[in-house]
Amino acid sequence: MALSVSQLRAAVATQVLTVSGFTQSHIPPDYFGRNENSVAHKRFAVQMSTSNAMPERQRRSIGVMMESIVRVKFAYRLRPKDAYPTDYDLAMDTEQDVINAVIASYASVRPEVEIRYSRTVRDVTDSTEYMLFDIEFTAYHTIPT
Amino acid sequence: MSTDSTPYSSNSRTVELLQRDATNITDITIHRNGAVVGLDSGTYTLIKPDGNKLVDAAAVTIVANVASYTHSAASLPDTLQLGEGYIQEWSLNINEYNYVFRRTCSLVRRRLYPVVYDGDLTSVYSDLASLRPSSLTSYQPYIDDAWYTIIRRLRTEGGGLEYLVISPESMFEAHRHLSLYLIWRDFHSSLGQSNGRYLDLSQEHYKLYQDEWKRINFIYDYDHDGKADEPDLRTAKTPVVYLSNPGLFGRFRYRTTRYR
Repeated sequence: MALSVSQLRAAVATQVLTVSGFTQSHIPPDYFGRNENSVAHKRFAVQMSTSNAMPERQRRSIGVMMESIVRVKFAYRLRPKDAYPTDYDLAMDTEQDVINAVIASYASVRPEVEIRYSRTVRDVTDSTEYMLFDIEFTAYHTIPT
Repeated sequence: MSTDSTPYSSNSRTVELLQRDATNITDITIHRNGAVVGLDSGTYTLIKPDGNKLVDAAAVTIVANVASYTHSAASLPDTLQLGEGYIQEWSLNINEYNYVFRRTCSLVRRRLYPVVYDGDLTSVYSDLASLRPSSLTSYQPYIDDAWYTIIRRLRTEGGGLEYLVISPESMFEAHRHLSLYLIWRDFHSSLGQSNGRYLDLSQEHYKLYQDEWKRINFIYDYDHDGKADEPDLRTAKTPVVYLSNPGLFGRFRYRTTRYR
């Protein structure tokens, strides 16, 4: 069974939604960071950044196997009186929860996908109101033809 | 016992109110260097506006370095004159020295209580609850500080005496805006920036507070009888007082030729 890029995005989003308090952004991931302040805390978006072909024969009967870069972006509010280190640490604990959720078992779409954690870019906004996380995963899957 | 000039703070935020014909517990805490000062012993005196003493050097109760005195309802009978001019004198012994802390006091028919609470702030900003500092369980310190600021301003600007205001809800908007101003300003001060959302919000609410302050009007009880003087007419907080004659234009316009 193959797994399309959009199905992969939805599957990752479903996993992230299992983390307490997380809600999906209504703004495309490329513009993540423009969420209104009142709902931005633990708001996330799953970006299907790039996909690259795997070195294989690409038979139409099986589909195209590819390596997709999946990026989970989320915001964590830093309370002004507890921004550092209390909330800074809490934010990174939450990042850990997200990573564990994303690399967890995908029972409904197994064994058509393998997901590996690659790296995280962390940033605090200029206003010091939010810490933004950009967590990168590499997914191996086959899209249907 | 001797005394010295150490400027202890008695932390009086506004005029102390005693409710007539009711049991009243009044207390005082002394602060210095950010800590509560230990009290050895003390007495309490309440002086009436005519200079006579209603309570004369009664022993105070000291618990956890808070000195308190309990007025029984009988000691504040309804024959006493209501209003301003009462003075509390707390004679407290601290480190073998004696200090007398004076506080102005009013004998009132009813106290005025605020109407704003946490929910009134989060109803304006839904994310305010999640921004609350971990050291606080509510925004009450800001709400209290705003309340005392309003009471002091009401008195210093000649707007009236808070305990004669019968309509506490008349302060609602001013109190809420000032509370939000204090909260956002405090948040901004924690971030070490010259601009930002918190600063913008604090300035917005300070302006709204000032606007609301000008508009405050309430139902008032001038004669201390516990009833609204004019239930259908609200009293403006700040009276308009003209200290000069009418303008020259009006005088010349209506002057007859006989007086020219």
